[in-house]
Amino acid sequence: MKSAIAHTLLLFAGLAGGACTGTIGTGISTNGTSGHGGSDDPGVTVGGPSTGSQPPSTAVLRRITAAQYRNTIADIFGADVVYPTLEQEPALLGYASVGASSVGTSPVGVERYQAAATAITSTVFATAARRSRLAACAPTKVDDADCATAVLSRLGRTLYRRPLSASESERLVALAIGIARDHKDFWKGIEWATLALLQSPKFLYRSEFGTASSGEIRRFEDFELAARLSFFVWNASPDEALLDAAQQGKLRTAQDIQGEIKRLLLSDKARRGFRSFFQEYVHLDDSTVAAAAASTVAIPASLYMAAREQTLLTLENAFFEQEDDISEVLRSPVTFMTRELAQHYGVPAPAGDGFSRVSLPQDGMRKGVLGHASLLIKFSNQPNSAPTARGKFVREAFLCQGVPPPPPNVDELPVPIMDRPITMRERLEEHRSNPACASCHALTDPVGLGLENFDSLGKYRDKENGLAIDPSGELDGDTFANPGEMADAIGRHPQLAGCFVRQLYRHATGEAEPDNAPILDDLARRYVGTGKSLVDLITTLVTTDAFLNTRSPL
Amino acid sequence: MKNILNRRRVLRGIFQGTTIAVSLPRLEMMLNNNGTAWAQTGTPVPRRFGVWAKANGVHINDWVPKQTGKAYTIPPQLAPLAPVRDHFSVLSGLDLPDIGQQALRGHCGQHTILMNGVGMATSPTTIWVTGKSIDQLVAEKLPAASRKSIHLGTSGGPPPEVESPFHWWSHNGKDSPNVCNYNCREVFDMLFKGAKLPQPGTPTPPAAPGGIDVTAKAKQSVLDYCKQDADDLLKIVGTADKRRLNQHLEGIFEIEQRLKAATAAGMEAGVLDPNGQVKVSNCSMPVEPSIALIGGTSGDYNANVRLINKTMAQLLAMALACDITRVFTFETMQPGCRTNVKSISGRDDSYHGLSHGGPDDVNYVKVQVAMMDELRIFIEILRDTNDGAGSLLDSTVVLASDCTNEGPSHGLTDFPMLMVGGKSAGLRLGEHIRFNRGNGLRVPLTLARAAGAGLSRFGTDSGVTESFSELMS
Repeated sequence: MKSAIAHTLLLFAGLAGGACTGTIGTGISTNGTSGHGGSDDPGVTVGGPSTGSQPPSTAVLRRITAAQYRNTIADIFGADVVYPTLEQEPALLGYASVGASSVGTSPVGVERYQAAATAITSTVFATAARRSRLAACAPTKVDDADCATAVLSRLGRTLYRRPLSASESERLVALAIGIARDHKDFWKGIEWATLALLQSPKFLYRSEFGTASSGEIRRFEDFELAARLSFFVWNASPDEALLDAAQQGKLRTAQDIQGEIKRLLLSDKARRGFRSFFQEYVHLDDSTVAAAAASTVAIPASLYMAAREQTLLTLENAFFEQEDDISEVLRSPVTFMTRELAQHYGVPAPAGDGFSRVSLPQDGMRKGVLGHASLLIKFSNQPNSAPTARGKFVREAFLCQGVPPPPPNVDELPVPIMDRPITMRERLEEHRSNPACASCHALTDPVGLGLENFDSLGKYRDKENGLAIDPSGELDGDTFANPGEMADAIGRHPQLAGCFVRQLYRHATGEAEPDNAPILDDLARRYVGTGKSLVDLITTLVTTDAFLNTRSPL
Repeated sequence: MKNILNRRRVLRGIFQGTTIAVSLPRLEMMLNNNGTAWAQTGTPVPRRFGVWAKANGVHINDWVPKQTGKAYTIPPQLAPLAPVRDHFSVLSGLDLPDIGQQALRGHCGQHTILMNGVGMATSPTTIWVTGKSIDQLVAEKLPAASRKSIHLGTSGGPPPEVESPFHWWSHNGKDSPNVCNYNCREVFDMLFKGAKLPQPGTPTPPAAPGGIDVTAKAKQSVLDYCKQDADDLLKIVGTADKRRLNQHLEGIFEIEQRLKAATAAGMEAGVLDPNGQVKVSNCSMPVEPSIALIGGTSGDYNANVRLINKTMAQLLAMALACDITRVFTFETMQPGCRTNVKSISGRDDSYHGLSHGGPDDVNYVKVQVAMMDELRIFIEILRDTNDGAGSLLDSTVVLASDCTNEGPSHGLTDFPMLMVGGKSAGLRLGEHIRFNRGNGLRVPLTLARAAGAGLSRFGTDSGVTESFSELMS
């Protein structure tokens, strides 16, 4: 039984009948499948949860995301290389990696890859000093095929995330030598060959299809696994050391894989890579989108961007430095402040410039990321707060409960009666009194109204239109009296940890839902059982059969 | 008001160069006696097809004229279009079929039904658009230009909460949106940079073919390499990925086509035929736009955004006049767009927020009127661009519509549609054409056929096969 999909279908079936069902998504079930099965490959000892009788997911082509492209180019050619914008993949279910597993590339998208590749090579080959970074040899003549082979083998391995095959190498070197002769310039040939590598679908898409292992199960090959690890943890291509490990067959035991993961996690690249996950987990905009959106909000752009950075720093610190679990992240008073942010929040300003780690009052209303202006602004319809959007966000991001968009041909809420003040809670009453709206809004609005003490800019308020705000409510049976208590309620929600695992799995694999649904329950149980450390969860995830195996593409 | 065909300008612009001597008689051969066809081949002046889109609905009672026929009184929301009323017709009484997974479509994807003739599907838990949109179906049927289609936008952001493919108007098959470009300079570079087009008053001869162009040869070898790599992958991937790779290959082929045209004529944009002759009569280099003209970067729908709208329309007109493309979508607001419209309405609110407020809101009406003013500018720019003996607008069939019917209800009934231009394609213009609950999907089908795309049907499920004869003169 593919439980996640079944749950989803259940939800939509319910909707067709005019009602949102209650909750969907898995919590941590206590009667999960199976113990720890062995791998089908005797050469691999995997300590992770078993996939039991569940087949792994089918293999799909995964386009490298715009962020992965950016990180990879920076790692290989230098962070100073600039290139025109790429076509952005849609963030499906909030995750670029999920979108990149199914989206097509339009003609303009292909053209953008060409423009980016041209910009990159023209920088990288601009000077002899610069190109020498890529040189594995010094050419002795314009059509020095040996030197071209040496340079391009290295570059090809880096960009294709595996050694070039003999025929690929032959084609590439022939291309380079032909162009070098035409231009009477060895390096022109290399430059054009690099352009070819950067525009090749073999660079732009990850084709990880494994080799037949047992029955329909295929095991990812060494280089494919290296790429999976690296794109997961660094959100970028593997480095030389990881490719070397793959080449030497040192990614075949759980111990080896965990050793590599430890190395990857200790690198600064892991922080950079996980910023993408954190950003997607809490539905923050990409930095370029955020920069554009900043001007739509009635606060300085610097403050808007600082609020976004506050959230990312808080999550990074909590997960990596403090090794907090997700529950603590949602309740913790610890965050990061600049003077500008502190003034906005009305809390004491930190000493010094830039961000400082601070702890907000323990008894405060503002707890965890739900008290961050970044999210409160994002889930508002400026200049008003948007409790429905806020509640939907909490359900979807933290509890993995899908809330569909409203049906067509529903009448809008009545325009607020202006002859007397009215609160948002009163205005939303219509949502819950109208049966067509009530089933879904009963899920979103009470949660969102719990955040009504924070206005559309994320500032604290206890009155709206001169009327007292009532932020009390309940979340799936757990009552709360104010935003701080609501953060606690989410923090102890039984689906929180399981959902966090699911979201990480989506980011890691690009799958909306795994074909092997019990893997999520297994992982969630282990996550809870091992003290809910993200680092431990990552380490566990990469040694599960679900991460190591695949099935033939359909 | 309308310019006449200015052959002298063409003469000055292109053929008074020093490297190619061209005599006047050869120039005369460019057009037939009526100016309706390219003389050398007898090919008629091409027809074009496009979609002009706004977002967030209209207030239908102030949009639909009270009278039908030619003598209708322009309703309040269409007021800015009065000066160009001979160039469009208002279509009313049309509904879109309620197809696809209603719960998933929600209240913001009505235009995907209009454009695709099919609803949305899940994949498996996510909203996707299925099928090809009408512009892509038309593009496949029209003779090849150097680009299958172009997709321009004025105000792209900030985007809706979750970026999803159904926010786009054009889809080249399942899961493959044609994303709009909101950056005027990028559009200019993509379409015109490096093209040796005539500059008004400045003779710019095309480069003479001759010798081996080593750069073009290198470009071709790179494309060949990439095609081979794609072919390698096609052998190992599943069905869905084959489709994706073929979409990618389509992009490579388009680059290749342009390269071939460029190699033949020494031009990037492919506006010369292999003999080095300009294929169309009113093609010239547009002004290079300022780098500040990027939609979506301004929080407000301010003067800069209005300038972007105008500049994009000018770039589009020249792309059509130069026969760089024959198909386009032009999006004046992204569906669900939250752009602040304070500078139009005077109230600090997003267009999306305002549209939910309802028709009685005077600020909402102001924005609607401003959007129609953008359409007026668009129409005038196409009208004032020469094309053969007529105007570009006459050979360009445009469907102007919205992502939803009315802001507050987000429904499918009484869907707002205008048909614009296309006089030489036989469209009945200058009227209010009233239907009694007609199937709105027949409008894109009729317009596609008028543009020369012989589609037998449009859409699946409740797809349509019959044109509306009422739309033709």
